[in-house]
Amino acid sequence: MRRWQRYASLVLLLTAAVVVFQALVRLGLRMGDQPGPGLMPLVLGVLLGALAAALLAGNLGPGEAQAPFWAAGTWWRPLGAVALMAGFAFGLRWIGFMAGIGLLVAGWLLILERKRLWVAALSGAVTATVVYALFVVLLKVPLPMGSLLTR
Amino acid sequence: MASFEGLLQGFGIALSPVNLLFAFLGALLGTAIGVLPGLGPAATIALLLPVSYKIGSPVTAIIMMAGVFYGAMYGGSTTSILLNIPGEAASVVTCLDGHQMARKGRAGPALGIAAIGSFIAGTIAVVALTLVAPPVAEFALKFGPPEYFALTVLGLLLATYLSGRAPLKSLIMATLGLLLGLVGLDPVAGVPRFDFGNVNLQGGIDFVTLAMGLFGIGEILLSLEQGVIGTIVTTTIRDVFPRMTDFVRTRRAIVRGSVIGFVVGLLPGGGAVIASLVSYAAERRASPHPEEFGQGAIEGVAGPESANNAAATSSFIPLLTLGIPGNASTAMIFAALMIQGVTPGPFLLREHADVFWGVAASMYIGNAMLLLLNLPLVGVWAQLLRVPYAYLAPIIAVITLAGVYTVNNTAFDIWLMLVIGVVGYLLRKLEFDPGPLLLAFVLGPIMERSLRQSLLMSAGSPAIFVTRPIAALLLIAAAIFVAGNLLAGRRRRA
Repeated sequence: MRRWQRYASLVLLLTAAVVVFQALVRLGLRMGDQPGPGLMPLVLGVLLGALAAALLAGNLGPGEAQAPFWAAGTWWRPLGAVALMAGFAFGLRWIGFMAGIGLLVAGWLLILERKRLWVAALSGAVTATVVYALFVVLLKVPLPMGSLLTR
Repeated sequence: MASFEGLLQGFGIALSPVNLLFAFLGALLGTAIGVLPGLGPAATIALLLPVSYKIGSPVTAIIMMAGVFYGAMYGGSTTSILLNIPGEAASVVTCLDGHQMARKGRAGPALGIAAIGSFIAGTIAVVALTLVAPPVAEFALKFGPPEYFALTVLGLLLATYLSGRAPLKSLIMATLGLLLGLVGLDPVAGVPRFDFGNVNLQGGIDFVTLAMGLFGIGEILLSLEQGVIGTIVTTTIRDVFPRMTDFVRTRRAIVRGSVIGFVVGLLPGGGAVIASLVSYAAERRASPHPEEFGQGAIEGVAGPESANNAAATSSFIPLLTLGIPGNASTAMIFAALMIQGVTPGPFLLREHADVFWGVAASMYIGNAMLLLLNLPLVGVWAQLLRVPYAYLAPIIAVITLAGVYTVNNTAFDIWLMLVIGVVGYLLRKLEFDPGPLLLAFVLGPIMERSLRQSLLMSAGSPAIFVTRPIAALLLIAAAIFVAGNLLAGRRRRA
């Protein structure tokens, strides 16, 4: 885990460098006789850099035995969920919210939970109906119906 | 007397049919999510934020969310006792003795004393809130920008140090939260900051998007990886009303837990988790039979469960009177109030007395509702533990996606939430607590505004923070706190 903590420290150091650069070069520390928009970012960027350096220093050296970041075979489920949700966001414009939700839930149960096709399809349809009733009918939220389905 | 009159006004508001319904819904939902492992009160309140847009009245919205918060404290004990898995973080210590009691066939009295202790502590805490909050708000009216800056610094430091096991990581998260709060147009100069040329980021990152990503998507991804495991001890629960000997044994634990919980809940970052841990330690020390702790001592259930409820209630005092949320859940309620156009802080009692007293009165009612929900219906809640997480996870994901879309009606927020969710998941895996990030995100704009106003007042001189007595005292307290923690850390390593 120490290796991953070191990677995290480096990402944080990079973030701090970007913040400090933006504060000094793009935003500016003074605005006439007033504090400028870059003052707070500069203070926070320097603080983040110092804290990230402290984290890095605390995780140098070999430390305990390396534990894997993901236990065997556990990484694919969160990755699959993110892929399904990203697919939903990508297809939203064309297939709309309701069909998207139905497909998302069905796909989730089918792929990530290994449920039977009819269970997944029924769950997707029921969830889409409940979301429609809750958000569109009850809360009057104009959820997009999709360009393919509203032609 | 003013408190009494205010409370009467509050009961007039809280007893209206709509508010009673939403208090009940909040308490019911809170108990349910407290029972179900894998979804905490902060995540649930985040999911409810878009719904709060649609509830016209701020009192009604906050009554429901407060019900979710303290309802989760009640419900969390059920999972700890029956499954040996905390339903939410504040019920971790209840596992130690509660589950042992269940294994010995005493699940009923364990659940019963948890509910009764929670009721008594919640009621004591809300009485104290009624008495303490008005003078605190009156005092806070003396605060100007330098005092607010010092208060946010102290509050954030306390919250980051007390909320997690690793103060360095919590400080990093708080700094990241403050930075994320800066994204968007600068409030004074109108210059875009950290928008990277994206017009969608010029209005800043929406609180709902951040909260749902970190707490909704982040928790789902982690649960998918780790799975929710555990075996329910019993589904037939008898003798929920504890025996007289149990009451005699636990009466002091409940009172001590109430006091500890109330005091700890007032501290930023203190909250229900620390209150329950402190209470457990206090009960073990005070007990004539400390060897029974961990083997099924009923005081080990009564004390912490009382403490976490009292803390949940008292954490509303800094939120409503100073405008400083002390934990992730109250930060969500802070955001909900802002969404409704109500600014929490010393002026709340003057300008929105209906909100303050309505919420306070609803807590009295909500506690009574929760006692009724938790004692006779405990068997029903136990059955809820049989709902497979396989079906819950996609439903939570769908609510999150629909909820975040409703904020600005744009798919950009969904993409942003997904990115934040993945980052939140990775941060949890690396043992970074996302709570301080969210708190800092809320406090960041207050901190920057008060810093810049203070420097304007003093023509750029930072001496203003040490020449004003309240600001100086608060900053000295912050410095002593940091120095004390650094010294303690060095001593531990030596």
